Amino acid sequence: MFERFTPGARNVVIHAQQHARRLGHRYIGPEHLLLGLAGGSEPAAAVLREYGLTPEFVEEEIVRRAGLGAGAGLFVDLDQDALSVIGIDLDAVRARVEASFGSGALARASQAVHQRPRRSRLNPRRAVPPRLGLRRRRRRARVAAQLMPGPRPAAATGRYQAPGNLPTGHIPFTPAAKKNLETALREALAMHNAEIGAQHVALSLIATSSGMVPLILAAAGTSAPAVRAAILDRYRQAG
Amino acid sequence: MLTRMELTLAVAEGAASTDPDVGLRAVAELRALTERLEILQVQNARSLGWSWQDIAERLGVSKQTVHRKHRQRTGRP
Repeated sequence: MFERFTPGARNVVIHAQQHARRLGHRYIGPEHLLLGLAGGSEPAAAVLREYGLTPEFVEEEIVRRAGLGAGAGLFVDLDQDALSVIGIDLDAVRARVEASFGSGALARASQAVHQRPRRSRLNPRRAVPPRLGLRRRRRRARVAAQLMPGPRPAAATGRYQAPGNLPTGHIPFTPAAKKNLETALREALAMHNAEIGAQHVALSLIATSSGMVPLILAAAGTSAPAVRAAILDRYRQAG
Repeated sequence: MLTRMELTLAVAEGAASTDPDVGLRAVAELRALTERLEILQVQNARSLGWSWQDIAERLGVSKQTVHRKHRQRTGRP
């Protein structure tokens, strides 16, 4: 799917991954995509910043809601509002758990929650051939070089830096983030655009109804329809 | 800070909400939260050297069930 992304949209994804790594998160959620988008140089990013969604603000919100480091992933994809309806304050639960278990235990549990099923080398039907990991990494690097010819874009930076070891290697998208990228494709098709640009990713992110992104929008004092209209307007003028 | 009684009432109220949209969402998220806490607690117990039998007793399930569910995530301490 990434071969249909414009360089600007690819930059958003690459920056989202760099942000996730810097914050010590072992997943790329919609909020990381929003952060990667807000720091970009696309017109869609300029619109977001006009509506108060600056990279500094988005990062502040992510760190406040999810925390830093690998333990942040344990509760992050739960719906805070749905739980508050039944009288459970997720922030309070998180604070309690963090206080009694160290960040190490939280990180291990969070890793277990987001773990992908591992193939067993003991099961002959699912045996992993030798050096598969190496071959897979090489193929990924080759595909990445094809997708992004030329010099690498500057690394995404920000205020916060998770303490301790940062996650290395591949960082998976959360199901919600994958859905966002699919919706971006659908936005592009609906506009009869051949390629998926940063604006389509922005529109799909803003349209999300659950997770952290609507909360960040609300905290910035703006609403999804307003931002959507502004982005569409900006690109209509340009096109 | 809610007292235990109030909390129980609130849970009952939300889970028993007449709006299915609210009630079902609440139940689903509550289940997800319980799962996360279970993983955290089981890992902690295993790292403290508890046996699967001991953990299963506290969770109210059989030791095979808890082992099958958590062995991959937790493994041997």
